[in-house]
This record gives sequence, structure tokens and C-alpha cells, in this order.
Amino acid sequence: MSPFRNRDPLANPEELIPRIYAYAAYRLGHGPDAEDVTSEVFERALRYRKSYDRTKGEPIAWLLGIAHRCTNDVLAARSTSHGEVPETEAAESVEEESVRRLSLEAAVAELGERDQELIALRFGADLTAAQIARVVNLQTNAVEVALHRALERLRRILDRQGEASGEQRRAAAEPSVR
Amino acid sequence: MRDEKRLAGELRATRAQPRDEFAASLAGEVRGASVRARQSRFGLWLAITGLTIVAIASFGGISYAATHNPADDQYGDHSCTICTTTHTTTNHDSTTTHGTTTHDTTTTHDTTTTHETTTTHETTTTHESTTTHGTTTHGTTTHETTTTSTEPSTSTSTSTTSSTTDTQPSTSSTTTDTTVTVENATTPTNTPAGTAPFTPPKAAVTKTTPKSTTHHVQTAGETKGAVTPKVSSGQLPFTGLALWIPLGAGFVLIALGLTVRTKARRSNSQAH
Repeated sequence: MSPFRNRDPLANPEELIPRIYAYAAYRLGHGPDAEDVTSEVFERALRYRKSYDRTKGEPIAWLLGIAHRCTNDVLAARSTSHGEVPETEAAESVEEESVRRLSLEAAVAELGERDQELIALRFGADLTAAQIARVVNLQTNAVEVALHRALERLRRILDRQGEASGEQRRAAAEPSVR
Repeated sequence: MRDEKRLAGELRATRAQPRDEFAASLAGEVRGASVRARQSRFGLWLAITGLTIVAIASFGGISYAATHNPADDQYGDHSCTICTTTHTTTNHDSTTTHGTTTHDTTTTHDTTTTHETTTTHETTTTHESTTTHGTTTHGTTTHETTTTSTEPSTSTSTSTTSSTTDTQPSTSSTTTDTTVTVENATTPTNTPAGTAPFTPPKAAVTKTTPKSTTHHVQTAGETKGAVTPKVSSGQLPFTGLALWIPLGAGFVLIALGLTVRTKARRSNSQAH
């Protein structure tokens, strides 16, 4: 095999780390678990660097394949240990962006595993539908349809959350008005 | 109600970013590991290169190249003469071609004899060659040629009878070649008036008797040394570089390669 075919997949880690982290954060939540998974992904990548075949895809796709396995390991460990709730950032943050992100994370956490995976790959790792198709072994059209449905479900969850929070706010505001 | 595009934009905008220090430390670690891996590969490459040089040198590859003349491989060790003559063809080789005989790749004897008034031997030799009427000396080969022309003739057309006697292989040490050429000079037809009366043509006997022709067995780097530079053992061909230089370079490369590789591995294990 030509040495040029298998260029170093980790030649530009600065670009890859945020994408892997974002993927892990969508699957596991923003915080130490996502950092652990990101570190684990790069450690495995260094160890198995020689197995990378450039003809099979970009380095990010290869790394996301590793990240997928690492994330599943963490999720499996969570399910066996008291069904822990994904760790989220401190709720006391009052900034709008943080609130929005927390609500989004919570909504994504309510999705099924497959939808989470697709959203993490699409919006966390910033892959195209074709790249996602290669990672998850699906047709590009199937990925696009699945993504569309996942977003639809997420939108419904967010709407439901919004309604629930509005009711809560109203309920909280009513006694004070009286 | 949120539409899909807006939701996708939100998902992108709010995606989690790693802490700067975490990202920087992880990137540094990955880069360091990549550099160490490269160093290790480079060390291995150096060591293999050095090993190759030493292996070739120790099995005699370099010394063979230093002492062997490629011309020998191609043409062998024959000695022969290229003689192009209208009268006499003298061959000192088992292979005889009338008019042209290959003496050597580097030696060409073109002998053209025109019997006018005298016998002229034009000899062109790439190595040392001295041609004298009567005596031709080719390096260590001595041909004594006695040419007897009884009558100078102004005509250049001659009829010749050539007899060639030589089947001597090139590696023979001593041979006697006798070439007798009997020339019957044609009668000049355009003798100017007032010149000497016509003398009937006598047989112009050209007796070439190399008394003791010694065919020196040419060894590589002797006669051919005039064409290719002399190479002694212990020297590389063409450049004349001493043999110890590539050997030394090989050993240095091996040492350097092993050192680099060991260092890279050590720092790699420390990093983990």
C-alpha cells in the first residue's frame, strides 16, 4: 500500500478535537464524560493509527467510528449503574444561550439512541449526510430521511417542554397575582 | 413552533465546545505522539539504510565494483586489431573479418596501405601507438614490418594479393605472424614524357615478419586504463572514493538510526 494513501489521520488534531467533543457532548452531555470520551478516542486513534485507510473515508469519519464505540461503552456503563441522568452544566447559569443549550440537550437526551447518534453526527461532528451514511452504513437518502424525522421529534419535544415550562411559569405567577 | 431550519441552526450554534485547556493539552499530546512516531520511523529508515550499505560492502559488492571493469564483462578479454587495408589484413584474433577485425573495444588499428611510392601505414590507436615505417610498436606488441617496394609508381591502383596467416587466439603469449604481400604494380599509363623509361613491374614483395610478436594479455586497468581511470582495490569506481567512507557512513547511519528510534520509544513510553 502506498505510504501516501495512508497519511497521518491525526496531523491536524486542533480541528478534530472540537468535532469529536461536540459529538460526544450530544450523546453524553457537555462535561467530563464528553472529555473522557474525546481523550479515549484520540488515545485509541494513536494506538491504531496504522489501521486507518484513507480510501475508506476522512479522518473525522474514522475518529467518529471510534467515538461511537467509546460513547456506547459509556452509555452501557451508565445504564448498568443506577440509570444516571446525563450530567449537564450548572443550572444556575442565567444566560440565554446556556438556557437554550440546556433545553436542547435535555430534549436531545429524550430522543432515541439512533436519533441522538444522527443529530450528534450531523450537528455535533458537522458531518454531511453522505459522510454520516458511511459511518452508520446506510444510504445517504435514508440518512437524510432519518435526520428529518429526528429533527421533527426533537421539535415536538421542545414544543412540549416549552408548553410545560410556560404552564409552570403561569402556575407560579398565578398565586403571586392573587 | 420551530421550523426545521431554525432548529438545525440552534443545534449547530449551541453545540458544546471543549474547554480551551483540555483541547490544547489533548492536541499537544497527539502532536507529540505523531512527532515521536515520525522520529521512530526515521530512525528505522536510517538504520536500514546503514545496514544495507554495510551488508553490500561486507559481501564484497562495493569492492567488486571497485576492482571490476564493466568493459570486461561486456566484451571479454580479447585482443584483436581492426585493420582496414586494401592489401594486407593481419588479424590477431581467432575471429577474422576481412577488412575489419575487432581488436578491442578501446583499440582500433586502421591500417591503410597505399602502394604508390612508399608504403604508408596509417595507424590510429586510442592507446599508445607509434607507427614507424618498418617498425610498429603497439604498447608491448611489436610488429616489425619490412616493406620493399622496388619501384615507385605513380599509379595508385594496385592489384594485391593478400595472404593472411594468423589464427592466434588473443591470449597467446608469443606468435609469429608472417604476411607476405606480393604486389604487382600496374603499369603506369600516364607517364609523362621525359621521365625515366618504363621499368617492367617487379614484384613488390612486402614481407611483414613480426619476429616476435608478443600479444600481451591485457588485464583490467592496464591498457584500458587509458580510457577508464585506473581503479585500485579499496576505491570506489568513477569517484575514486576510499572504500572506508561508505562503510563508515553505513555504521554511523545504523548507530544514529538506532539512537533516534530508542529515544523516540523512550519518550513515547514516558508520555503514556
